[in-house]
Amino acid sequence: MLPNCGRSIDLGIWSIDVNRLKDYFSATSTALASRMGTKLIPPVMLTAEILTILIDKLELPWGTIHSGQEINAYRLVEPGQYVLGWANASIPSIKGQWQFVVIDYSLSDQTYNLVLMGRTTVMVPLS
Amino acid sequence: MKHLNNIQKIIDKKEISRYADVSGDRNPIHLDDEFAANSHFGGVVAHGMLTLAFVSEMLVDTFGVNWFETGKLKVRFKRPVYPGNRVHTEGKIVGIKSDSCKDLVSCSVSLIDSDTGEAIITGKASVTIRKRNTQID
Repeated sequence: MLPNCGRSIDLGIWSIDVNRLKDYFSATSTALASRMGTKLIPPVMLTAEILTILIDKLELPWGTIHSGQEINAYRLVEPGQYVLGWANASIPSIKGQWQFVVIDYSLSDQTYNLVLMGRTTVMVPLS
Repeated sequence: MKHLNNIQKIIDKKEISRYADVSGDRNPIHLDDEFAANSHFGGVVAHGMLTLAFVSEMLVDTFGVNWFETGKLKVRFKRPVYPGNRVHTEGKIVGIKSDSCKDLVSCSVSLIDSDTGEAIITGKASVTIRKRNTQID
């Protein structure tokens, strides 16, 4: 079984700086930078950051497929602003050659105001 | 029924590699031709979150900072995107619930393979738009 399934996962405390935000805009080739500037972090980018942490914490193997995503934004986040989060990964359910894992997570600012909540569903190969 | 502005993209391997560097997701199904050829997908595919960024761009284009502050999104990744694929977003407003302070706008959203018409991402989104106070002089 994947480590940390069925228990709380600490997503740590971190921030995204302006340079990282610019790299993200460059990599996603979006016009967001010109539309929104670099004063705010897109919720999709915060979610991508969380997923990277979860790949490590859950030791998701190569071949894992991202099958579903929910994002609920509640507050604006600026570059350099610290956020902290927690996640809960379900015990995998098995169908055929895949394990289905549902991961719920939440992110807050340093005064514990809710910033973001979400749910990620992944399919993990059994072999 | 208002349609959202669609965003058109062509995804290439360089973009997928750049996204892998920025995101830290270096799953070889996104980067390694040999590994990916033996996978479920048969070839290198773009990250789901890379393609979801295009849907997000469509919503920002329509709703601006409201999307960052109040946006809700729920999607399924139905099909992979391969390098060279042309894709575009589609979205439309399907409902508005209003009260004295705000409008809750609901949308259907998708990312479509422009050549086949098949859905890559499907889902729904909503955003809350606060009404401006109006002063009567």
